[in-house]
Amino acid sequence: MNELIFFINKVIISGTIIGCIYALGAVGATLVFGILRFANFAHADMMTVGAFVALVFVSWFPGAGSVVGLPTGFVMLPVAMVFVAIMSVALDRMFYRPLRERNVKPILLLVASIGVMLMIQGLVRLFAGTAPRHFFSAEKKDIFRIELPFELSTRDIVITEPQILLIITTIVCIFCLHRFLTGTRLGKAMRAMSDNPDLALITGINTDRVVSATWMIAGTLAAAGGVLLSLDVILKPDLSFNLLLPIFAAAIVGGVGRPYGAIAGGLLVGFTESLAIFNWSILLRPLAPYIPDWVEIPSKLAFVPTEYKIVVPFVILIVVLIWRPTGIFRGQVL
Amino acid sequence: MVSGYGGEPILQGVDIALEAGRIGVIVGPNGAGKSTALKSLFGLISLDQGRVLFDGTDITLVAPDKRVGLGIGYVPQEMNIFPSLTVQENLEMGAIIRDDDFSHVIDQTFEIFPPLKDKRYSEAGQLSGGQRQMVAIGRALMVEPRLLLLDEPTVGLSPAFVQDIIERITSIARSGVGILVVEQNARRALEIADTGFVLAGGKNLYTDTGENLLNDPEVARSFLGG
Amino acid sequence: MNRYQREIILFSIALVAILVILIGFGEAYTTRLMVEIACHAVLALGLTIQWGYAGVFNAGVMGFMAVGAFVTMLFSFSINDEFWSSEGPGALAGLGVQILLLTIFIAALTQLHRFGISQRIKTACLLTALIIAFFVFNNAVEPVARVIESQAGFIGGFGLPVIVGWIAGGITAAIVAYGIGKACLGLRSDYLAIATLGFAEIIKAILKNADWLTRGTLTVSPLPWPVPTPNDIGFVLARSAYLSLMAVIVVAMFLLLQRAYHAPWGRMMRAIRDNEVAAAAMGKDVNFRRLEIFVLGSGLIGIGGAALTTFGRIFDPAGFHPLKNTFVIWVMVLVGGAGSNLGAIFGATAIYIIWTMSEPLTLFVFDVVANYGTEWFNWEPPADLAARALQTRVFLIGLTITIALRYVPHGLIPEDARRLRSV
Repeated sequence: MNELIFFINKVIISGTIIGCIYALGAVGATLVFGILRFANFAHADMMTVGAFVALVFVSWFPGAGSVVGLPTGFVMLPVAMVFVAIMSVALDRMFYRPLRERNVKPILLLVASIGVMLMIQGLVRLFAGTAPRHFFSAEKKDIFRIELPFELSTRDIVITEPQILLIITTIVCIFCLHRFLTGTRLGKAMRAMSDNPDLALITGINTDRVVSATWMIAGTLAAAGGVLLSLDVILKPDLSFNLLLPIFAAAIVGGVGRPYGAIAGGLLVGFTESLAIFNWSILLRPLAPYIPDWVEIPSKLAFVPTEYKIVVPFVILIVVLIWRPTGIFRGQVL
Repeated sequence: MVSGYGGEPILQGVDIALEAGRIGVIVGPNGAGKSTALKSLFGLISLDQGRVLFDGTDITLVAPDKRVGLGIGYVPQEMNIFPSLTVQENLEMGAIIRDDDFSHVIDQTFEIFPPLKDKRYSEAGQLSGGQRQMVAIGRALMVEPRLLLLDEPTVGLSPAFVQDIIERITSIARSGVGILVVEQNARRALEIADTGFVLAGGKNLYTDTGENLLNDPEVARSFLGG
Repeated sequence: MNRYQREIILFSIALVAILVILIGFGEAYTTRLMVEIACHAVLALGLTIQWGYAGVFNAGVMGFMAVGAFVTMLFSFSINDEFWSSEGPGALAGLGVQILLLTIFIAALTQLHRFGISQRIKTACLLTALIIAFFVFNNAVEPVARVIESQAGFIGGFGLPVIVGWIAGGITAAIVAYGIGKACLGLRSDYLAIATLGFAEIIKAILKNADWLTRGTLTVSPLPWPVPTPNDIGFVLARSAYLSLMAVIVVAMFLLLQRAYHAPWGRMMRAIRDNEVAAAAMGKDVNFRRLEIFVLGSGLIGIGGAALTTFGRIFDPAGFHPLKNTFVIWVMVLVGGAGSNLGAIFGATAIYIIWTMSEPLTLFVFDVVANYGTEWFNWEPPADLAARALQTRVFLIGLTITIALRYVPHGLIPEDARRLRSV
């Protein structure tokens, strides 16, 4: 029984957690990819900025959390979301729009996004340093242990408060996004523009507004993902590249320009990662009596060693690109 | 009009004029500049020389998306729907520039294209070719245009659908909308045309009523396959 | 300005900068700088033919460099006798046999359709087999690695001449590029950019963690040189010898690439870059051509990485960094002018000088700021000020990319086709 609980803790819970993070990142990335037609390399750094902004506000108002009984970092989430949303639009005006107006190929926007990525990285690390930061230096992280009513189990299912908040926030964000995309004119216009930008233009859709809205949504969700990830583990200023690949893998698996696909893709990548680095020999151990003696169960039996975790999204990406470049939700191939 | 995509102009002097509620059909061999003429009228290609007048106003320099607001609907030849949006949403997108209540226009559109009504909540990309064409035309009708520009609305459709679409085009025209169609099915299209424009080599070759053109042995031999 | 004046002025400025450095920092430092510039010129040439000739986006320059560097280390480092007399080779051979068997098994599976098995089932079988094979392989490496690490440290090199290592490094990088390109080049460049970025991180992770192969974070040094080392003939002389070798390589590459650029092959590549659809309509095999140039460019990057690492005398997989090894090269290409070979060489020279000089400069500026800040505002500078100060360079590199894109989209020395047209 303990082994199963271990599996739940290590795979189901961590898979959901990291999957939610990837989903929050991938939705924004896929919207930008679908509407502006370029892979925004600065996306993961928008997440870092969100977490950093929340951290700054936590240091200014350290007591804010205890007022409402939630972690202070989480209370600062809306601030971070608004900040990054505005920043994204500002970045678009400064660096991407001038290029779009010159009608350059979208790939040059990708090059520009690399420039933006490096600028953000440089600034964040200049002001925040390169060392990892904790949100929970002053407060205690609530940990919930769920005991299972089985005789054989001595271990508990462990889930922390930030993890619960993360799952709830993700669900709320996705619900709001769904309402926006299917229930409002701007949301529908956004989907329309992602579907067929030329037709959107001649239909009279205000593409400028759609672009701004896209950036705001991407920024908001990126900030949410960044803050929640940092609350769960730690704020690392150099997370960028390690997040970028799974996020784009998720976006492409889901189908470019398909926000729902991106959510599914994020969870898929998250779960696959957890399954791949899970030590399967733990599940085999209870079976030891039934396994012939000459088969020795190694102490470690994982698909991918933890240090090669980044291989997982890469393999998913390549497999999807070879077998089904439109992704599972039939997105565009750009 | 003289226009093109840079370099040698494709249109080398084309005149097209149409009255309200009439159907104009542009026919001609491949490469005659039929689609280019339509795009030039809608402003997707800027003119090198000449003018575009709509209701007596010069709109030569008005951007295409603004022409929609003036009452010109344009249906491109391909990629003319939003495939992942529902039929209803496609129509709503057509009305994106309207701030008033347009639900009656949607109802009217469903009257013109009854098959769409049952499919209003399905994704437009899942529909058959003919139904997609209906969605595309319906979307352009949402601004209640006074002029509708259709670029080969029957291309790739089975003959039954071709007849269907052409009949609906006539019924739209009867409601007072001027329609300018570029058509490969020249004979069929000229049958319903009030005015036919035969283009070749980027120039007007013949302009006459559809009936006269159909009966003109010269036109018949060169462009209607005998 | 006629078409040569601009180049002459730009290169003169670079030359003056080098002379100033020569006076200020001495001969040993300047020769080192110039060798590194030459190595970066090779890298920039490799990237400029990918991006500039054919519009192929490679965001994983670091990965191909690292492959080149590793293979050079493997080929040219001295033979580790301890390894060859240990159980290591036997264990490794055993691993090799396992890999061979797995490969044969999977190759057999790809032929399943010959036995009337449907495509879908075949794909499913193949995928399952691949996962199981990967699983087996992964867990088989571990004990072998343990044996080698405990008995001999790492497998050492083959003790071959350095030049052989460089060539092998280039070829290996090209082979790796072929694999990635096969999977992604048919799609738009964004996908390739993402894939190459990920690939570079993976290569780094593998080289960093496979201690039995690379000694990982323990690093391998001193790497042998293709010319006499400073220990034999002193810094200036040894570095000058290295510089001469690199100069020969850069000039040879430049001339060959210049020829290729003006040849029908180069024109075809530009046609593909500027209008893929039209090029495909004219019967050009767009994907094959893009793969070709991706492989070629990555091979050059492999050689450049090999030369640079050899010059540093130390193979340190943890020392590869996307900023320093990918994006700085990109800036060289963008500032120099995409597709312009002369531009790539100028970009490498100018940006590398600025990049190297900016380190002491930023440190100095931040030191001054910190001093005045402490004096006037009682500001307490953070303990890691030096590390943070260097991050301004990251910002500046990013800023340079965006500025170059916006204000000098064709670079300071635009490619020949553009320049000749405008004259």
